[in-house]
Amino acid sequence: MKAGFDFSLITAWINGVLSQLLSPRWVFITELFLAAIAIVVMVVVLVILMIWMERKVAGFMQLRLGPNRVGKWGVFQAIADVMKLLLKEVVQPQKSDKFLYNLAPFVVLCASFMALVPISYDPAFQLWDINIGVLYITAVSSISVIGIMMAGWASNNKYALLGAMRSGAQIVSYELSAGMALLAVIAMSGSLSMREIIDSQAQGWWIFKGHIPAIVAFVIFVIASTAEINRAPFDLAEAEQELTAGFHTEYSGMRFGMFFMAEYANMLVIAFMAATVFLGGWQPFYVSGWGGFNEIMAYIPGFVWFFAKSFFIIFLIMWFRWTFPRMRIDMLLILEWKYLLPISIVNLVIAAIVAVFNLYL
Amino acid sequence: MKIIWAYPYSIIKAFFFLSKGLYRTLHSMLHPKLILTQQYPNNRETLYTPERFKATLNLIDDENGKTKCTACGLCQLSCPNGSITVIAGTVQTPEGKTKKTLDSYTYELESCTFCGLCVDSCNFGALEFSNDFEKSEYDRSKLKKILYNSTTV
Repeated sequence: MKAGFDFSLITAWINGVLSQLLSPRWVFITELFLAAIAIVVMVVVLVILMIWMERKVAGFMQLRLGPNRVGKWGVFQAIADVMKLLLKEVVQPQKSDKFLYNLAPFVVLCASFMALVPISYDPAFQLWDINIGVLYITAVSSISVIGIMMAGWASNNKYALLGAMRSGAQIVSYELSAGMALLAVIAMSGSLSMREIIDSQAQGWWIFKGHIPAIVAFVIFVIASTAEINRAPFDLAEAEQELTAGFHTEYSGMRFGMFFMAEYANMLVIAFMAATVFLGGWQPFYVSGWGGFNEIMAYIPGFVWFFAKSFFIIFLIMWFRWTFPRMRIDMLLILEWKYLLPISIVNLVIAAIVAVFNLYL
Repeated sequence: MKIIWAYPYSIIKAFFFLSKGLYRTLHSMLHPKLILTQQYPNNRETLYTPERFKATLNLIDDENGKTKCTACGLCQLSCPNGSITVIAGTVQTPEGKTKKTLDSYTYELESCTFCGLCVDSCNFGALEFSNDFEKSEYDRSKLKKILYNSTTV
């Protein structure tokens, strides 16, 4: 398999230049910093792109135009919004808990950035290939609930506290079925490492190869992770009509911007996870027997495949947001405990049977 | 047995209705011709306003160019804000009778809520609302519209 563009050329070139200038230890440290900056810049650019995409998608779905004044088709609208947030004064409530109030946005944002570490963006671009990648991401991304609780408690505001409590109940309960859905694929691929899960999909993605259990797991994962990142129809934590803005009611300026960015970064993490585990990561589309077709598909670079799949998932989540009305809190918990969790447990058993008797397509 | 079937049935039903909603939004997204937004200041020439849109109160003339209004004052009575003032005068008809005629009809735009009760109350079809909505002025006194004045006509 030969891709049209190879990422390893760039990384090898940077490594070569640095090792001529510095000692091996400093080369390692500099490369860590460069990689971190690359990831942060990538996330910021993608978040700005997603905000614009969200507003455009929302507009078209509601028979509106969306932003169309700043730049062609309003492409610079999100950048203008970010500039405004950067210049805005940060107002702090007088009776708030100062330390926790200031710490909360950083906890939430750090949690979502940490979850990006083991993701493999390209055959030659992965920060840290640990053997428990999937477990690491699910563990780290649930730290953000602590930050949300902190924000809700420290704001000294009833709306913020209610929003944070709802968010806590929601994230804790939906994490179960999201994890179960991932386990179904892990049972079939036999590994928790992101790299090995992607490698196991070279002869067909899990959603095709794993047929029924994989499709059910995919649907459950998309539903549960939409709930986990507090987006509509599960956005009870920031239900505007009831709680003004939920846990970030009292935040303004860039503090609010950090919560906003964390929400979109979490959406990116979810999309990357779904693309990696179910849709084959950077693996091209493969149909066994179609030699020429597979050659053409393999010529498209890995990161193009990866981001195309991720943005497909992001579009799905946006589509849900602008279609479905918000759920009531009791219905939300009924959906999790009476439907998603039992189905995903049964689905896990079926996936285990498929894995043991080798019933792949 | 019924309870056992209710569970999968509820799931299938949920997916059916959710997919209906998803189809509706995707359809709107893929058909940009359906977009309802009008970019108003840029499209003054092609702007579409619905027929029923209430923006300006007009007095209607009959085919001879005389006003249809008989100065009965029902519109003035029905107006909740007192925006309409009808002043009636009298004329001597050739038969020797005295008849009420319209002297002046003033309408204050600044206190009008565009409820349309005046148009509904008119028995002679002399009032209508038209679509011309660009009515902002720099001076408050210009908002007092004199729709009819017998001395100038």
